[in-house]
Amino acid sequence: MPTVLLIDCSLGMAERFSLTIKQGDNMATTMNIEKRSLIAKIIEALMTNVTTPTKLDTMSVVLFAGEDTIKIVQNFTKNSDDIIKSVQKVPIFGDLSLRSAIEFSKKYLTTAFGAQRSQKILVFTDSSHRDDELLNKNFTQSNIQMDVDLRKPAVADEHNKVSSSNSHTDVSFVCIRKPSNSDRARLEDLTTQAQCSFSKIYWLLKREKENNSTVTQDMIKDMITNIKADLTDIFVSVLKCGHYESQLAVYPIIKPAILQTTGELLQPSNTLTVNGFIELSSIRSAMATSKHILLPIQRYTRPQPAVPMFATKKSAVGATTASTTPSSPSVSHQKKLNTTNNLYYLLLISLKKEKSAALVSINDQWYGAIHCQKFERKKKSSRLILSVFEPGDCIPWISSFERLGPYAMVFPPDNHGELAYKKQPWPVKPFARSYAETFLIWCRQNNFQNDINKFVRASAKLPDKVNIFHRELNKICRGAFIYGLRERLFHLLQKLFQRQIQTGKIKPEGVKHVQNIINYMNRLSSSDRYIKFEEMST
Amino acid sequence: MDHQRNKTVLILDHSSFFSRPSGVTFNVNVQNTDQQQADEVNNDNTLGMKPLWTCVVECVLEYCRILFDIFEDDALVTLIVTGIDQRDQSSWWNRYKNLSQCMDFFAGIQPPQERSSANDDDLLKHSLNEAITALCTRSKKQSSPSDSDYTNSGHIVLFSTFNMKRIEIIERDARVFHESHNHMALEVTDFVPLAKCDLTLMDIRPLDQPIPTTNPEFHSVTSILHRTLYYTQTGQMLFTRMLQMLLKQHNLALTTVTGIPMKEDVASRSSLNYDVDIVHPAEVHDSLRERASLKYWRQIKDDVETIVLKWSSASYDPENYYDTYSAFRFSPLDVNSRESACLTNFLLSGKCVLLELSNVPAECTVNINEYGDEKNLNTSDIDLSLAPANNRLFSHMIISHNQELMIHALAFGMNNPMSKIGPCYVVTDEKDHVSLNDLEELMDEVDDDVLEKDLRVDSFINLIRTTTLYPIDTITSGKIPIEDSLRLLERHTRRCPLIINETILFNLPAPMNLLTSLILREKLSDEDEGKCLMALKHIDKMERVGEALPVPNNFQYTTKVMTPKAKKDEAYRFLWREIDYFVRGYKESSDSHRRIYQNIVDRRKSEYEQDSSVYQSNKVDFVFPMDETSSNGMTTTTMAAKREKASQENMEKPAGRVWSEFSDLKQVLAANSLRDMWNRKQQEKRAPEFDGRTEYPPPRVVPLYVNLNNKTANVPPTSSLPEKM
Repeated sequence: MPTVLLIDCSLGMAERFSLTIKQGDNMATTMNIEKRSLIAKIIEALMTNVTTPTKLDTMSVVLFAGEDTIKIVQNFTKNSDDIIKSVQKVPIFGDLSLRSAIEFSKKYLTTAFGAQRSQKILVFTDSSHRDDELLNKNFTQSNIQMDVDLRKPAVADEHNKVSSSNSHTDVSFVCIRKPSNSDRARLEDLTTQAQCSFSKIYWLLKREKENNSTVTQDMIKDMITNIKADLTDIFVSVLKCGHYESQLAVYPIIKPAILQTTGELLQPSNTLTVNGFIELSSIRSAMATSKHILLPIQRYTRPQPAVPMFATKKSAVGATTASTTPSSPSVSHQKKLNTTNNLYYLLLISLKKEKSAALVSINDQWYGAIHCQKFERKKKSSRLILSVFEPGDCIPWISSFERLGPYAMVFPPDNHGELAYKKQPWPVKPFARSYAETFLIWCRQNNFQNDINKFVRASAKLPDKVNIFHRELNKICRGAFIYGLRERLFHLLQKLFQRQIQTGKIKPEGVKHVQNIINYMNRLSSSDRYIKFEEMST
Repeated sequence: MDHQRNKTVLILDHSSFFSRPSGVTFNVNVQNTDQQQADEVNNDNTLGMKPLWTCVVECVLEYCRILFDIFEDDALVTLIVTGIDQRDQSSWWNRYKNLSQCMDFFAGIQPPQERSSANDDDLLKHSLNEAITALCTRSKKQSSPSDSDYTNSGHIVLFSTFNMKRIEIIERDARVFHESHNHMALEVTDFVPLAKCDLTLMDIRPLDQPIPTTNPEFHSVTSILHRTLYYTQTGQMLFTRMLQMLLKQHNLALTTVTGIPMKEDVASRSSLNYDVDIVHPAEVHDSLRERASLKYWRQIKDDVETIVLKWSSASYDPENYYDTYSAFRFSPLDVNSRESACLTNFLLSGKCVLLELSNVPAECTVNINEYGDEKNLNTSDIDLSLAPANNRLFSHMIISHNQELMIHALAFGMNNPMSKIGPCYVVTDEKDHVSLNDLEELMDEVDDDVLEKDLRVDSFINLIRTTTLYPIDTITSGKIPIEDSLRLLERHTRRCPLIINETILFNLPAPMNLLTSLILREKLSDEDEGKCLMALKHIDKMERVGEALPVPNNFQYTTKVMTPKAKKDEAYRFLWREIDYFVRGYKESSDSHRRIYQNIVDRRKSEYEQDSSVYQSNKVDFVFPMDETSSNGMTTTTMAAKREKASQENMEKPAGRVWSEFSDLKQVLAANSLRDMWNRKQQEKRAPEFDGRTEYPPPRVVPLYVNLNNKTANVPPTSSLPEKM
């Protein structure tokens, strides 16, 4: 999920801390650095690791201070170096307006990615501690906040509350010190006001140790581990298809969902079981509550000097790969060892070729679909995407997942012949829809006119196509009954046809038919119910 | 659409007033230019005047049409005509299940009499009582008493002519009726109390009579009963009022699909752009609201608000999986018009169309150039363009699902960050943790084409086709269709390899492919059985003649003598083991299966006695890579932990639960140590055995994890996985 790193540039960031860096065994250097440098260090530590979150996320850096002092220093990128570079020189401005910064970030995310899928804002700020020398500033700031609070109830209706709890934008805070309860409440409040959902607060220093403002690298490391665990929150799962299995990472994590019919909270199971397949043209972009990327888990060992073992032992896949790329032996061996997620790749390629999706069960009565999507950066490779549906049968065109049967059973081959697959249309729910069937809708003059035109045109073709003529006749007559127009309409139509006969618009052989229907209309206008032409004449 | 829908009762006044002419004319003139002149002289012959009744029926049917199109059998609408007795009082909500039935109802009603009768007001009062009775009657969804009884709400729409006194009487009557019904509902379970009731009065006037105001008048009679009064003339105004009322009552909204290219006629090459209005639930527009206020796309058309979205001319493949998060039915507003028919036919033919936001207002987006610092802003990696003004932004998709028109809201537009995430998730040995890795070298290997060569894609595609799911209407008792699919998947994957290079059997041409496809069936006819036995005989013959087998490139020969003859012999031995193993997996399916298996056993018995155990371990390795998880859903982490415990030696090998190891016969041969046997015994004690493992003849059991001890020692520590779970 895309993440905005929102960095506080207010005056408070100039506050100094001592940072202890351990070197070697017992050597330790203590530096006196400003908070902004500390934040830069945190971000650097977050990004320079092998497991940098940018592998999964695309991230951007936004600096903020006052209400109008907001600056995007790094657009969404997957390049960690750019992010580190962008935070090296954080300037200091005066004010602090957290709320407008969060709102801006949300807008920024929405501009880039829409608002329907999960997104994250990570705020690096100092506002957790305001009883330091910045008391005065923070005091005014909280005053502003209070103004907002007072103003809020006027707008805070139910709708606002609902939308904030459903928001897909998570806001987490990274603070130097643990915020007090009131600070925490303030941050939570800010988040809800910006219609985001509050996620977590990380901090370096505990509150009790206020006097001891020394930050050690271990502290940073601990915090980074926590942040990273939440940022790159994956879900390790087993994909099963009959006896075939493959282990996968699901990202982002599948959130528990509520089964509407019973109100039961469902947890995603660790096993995604393939239940069958549905053609993409049949599943038709079924709506998903969330989308997840499925990545094969590969065990990767750093390339080592070629062990004699490699030379003799060739795994099946490796052999072919190696034969295509005989050079760089260590790399190719590395490759072949990683090609172990056979089911994953088999599914990937088959789904791609078949333009199909696999229906997987995530839990009882909870389904999702896996389809293959091209990887944008490299056109030749693809990955599997899991679309998680709402639990229960919530897709109108799939009335029940349990009532889906395999092709081999639904369309069994004739007398034990070979199964020849041919795409079958899905059954259409027998319901007369006005756009799929012709209904006599006369509320607009042109609708009525069209029907009359068809009728009269059919009369000109008589005696050919008598059936069409009668069909049109029945339609018009039924319409006349439905809309309470019978006498008037019949009268006019009779006149019309008489005129048509006089002016020779009706072929001589057709006159008989027209006379018949004129009589029919005569009789029908005195009838109290609509009778079809055929029934009346027999 | 999960929540309970409002009920609607439409009451039509059938009094003599409605036999009056409405001022709206209809024309039976055939529109032909030459004839038109003649007819203009003779207007009386072609022009007719619609009575007020006709106008009301037209309007009511249009109201019903939209409701039925969008809510189908959940439309919950019922019709009452004053003075017309409804025969069956109990089935208010089952009576009109589609538009045809509504039309039939009107077809059976005589137009109002011109003579006025004295008791028109009484009839109206009676109908009003009926309407409230209907609202208090249980609908299909309310069939049993529940909490939702207290959210029972409904609309009564009354088409008539009103004056202040009459309105007062109606309000009073309605109040008395609903109060008495709510009292009744406390005692009778057949009744549901009415929690909210909106009474809408439509004052219908002919075209020549002016109306006092175009705005509706609201009045709260009680906290439950609200009255709205619309004044309207017949014709277009009546239709507009009806639409306004419909949108409000059922929380619907209008979207104008603009810029639909349509060929004027066959002759002309130019195409003109058309607009089609569609009606759908208002939730469809929620996604727009999150981006910016709706006012940016809003237009007022004939007094009704509509959101204008642009038809995207690019062709869109319904075989794409778009990221959509909601879908609602829609119905064209003017369903029989040429433009609507064109659009609906296009969609019903199976295509889908994306709708585009014509412009996103600048104040609702973030322009990075405006906020970015030119110097510092790194724009090298901007593949996600942040300027939707230049980029198209798709907000909705219209599509038909099994002949139902639906509008979907798209989640990302076209900007899906997921397609940019690295290719695989990597567990590294060194740091003991998991990470996402997209090293170039790793990306190369996920090249789809390379993978395709190794994997048995064609056979898996066959499996996909066999288990492609289709809805079933009638189920035979006690059978859940989707479980059939699971059973099929189980059968087809029970003893089939994943990789081409590891099998000879599955690479063999006809008639051996008959064996591999027929055995998968649950029942075999005598003919099928014969075919299988023929296939076995064929192999026998091939072996005798000494025909070459399609041996995979990397086949691992165990023989020390590398002569072609020795190689061939070993390939055949391997093939027979495969056959034996494959058929054994299915021998319990039927007597025919068992006979075929017996045939194989008879054929090769003597040759394989000495190395049968070696062969067994091999089989286990490739068929039950995760035996325990498959039978009881144990998580992989516990598996991994066990594996770690078991592995002590250190060898270069990835997690060994894959087919690739099957070919490493040497490893397998060495695997059958004393400790393996002991381990096997331990495992046997643990749980009742999975069917497929039961050896023939009993009581021997196929061992598990024989390779584990000597080959998988280097399973990377997956200790970080449990933390993640």
